[in-house]
Amino acid sequence: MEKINHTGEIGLNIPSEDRYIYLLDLVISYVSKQMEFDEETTEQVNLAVIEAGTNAIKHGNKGDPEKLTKFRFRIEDDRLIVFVKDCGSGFDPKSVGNPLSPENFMKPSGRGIFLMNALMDEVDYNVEGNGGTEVRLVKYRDSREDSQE
Amino acid sequence: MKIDAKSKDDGAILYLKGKVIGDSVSHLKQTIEDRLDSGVDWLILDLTEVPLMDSSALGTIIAAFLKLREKNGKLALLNAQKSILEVLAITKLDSLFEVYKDIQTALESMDS
Repeated sequence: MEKINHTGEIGLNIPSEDRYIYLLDLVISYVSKQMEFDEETTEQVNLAVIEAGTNAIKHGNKGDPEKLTKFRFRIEDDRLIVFVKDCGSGFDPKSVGNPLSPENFMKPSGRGIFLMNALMDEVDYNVEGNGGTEVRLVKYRDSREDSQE
Repeated sequence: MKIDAKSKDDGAILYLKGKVIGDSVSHLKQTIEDRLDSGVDWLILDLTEVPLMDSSALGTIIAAFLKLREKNGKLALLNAQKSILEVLAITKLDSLFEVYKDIQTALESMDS
């Protein structure tokens, strides 16, 4: 397979139904291979982007197949940047409690954002009100700690 | 994702095959609920062939764990792969779930 050795961007728009997560998984796997991520990093990126996509589908777009959940995979020399955008009314990521705290630990939900933060090097949000929420996830080819040395 | 089930005494072993993401989480949830409705006292989830599991799947397993615990039942994980062990460690759920490497030990723990 020919490697992408320059910066580039791949887009994916899916109807907001959780069965399309499998298509997302395929694209993430392809992009991770292009990035030459090792197996562990590939698994981390896969899960983090799937968590972001599932949040956008379920909470942002309320599972409405008429609304698209949009993904952009930007390949740069030293990093992969993934943008995940929904058409929801926006949310405050700080409003989500820490799943490790005693009051939340046994709750079946509320771990997606926590996992995204743990698995990626950078995660931030651009809340656009009625324009939706865009999550930006970054993974460096080498760990951020290594690249900053 | 495919699930094969095997009933044994008063419990069941669920053999999961494939990534537990997207709509396969609903499949897992329904399979577990069917087993709980049939009155099982324990469940073992064999994760030997599960390379990836998202937080919704973890939530489904937590819900099953709580329902079984209400009636002094048990739930255990079998042969979780490295990527899933990492997620269990990050979320500290490795302190909640019993994780076994062989079926015999898992079955013995269900009887204890």
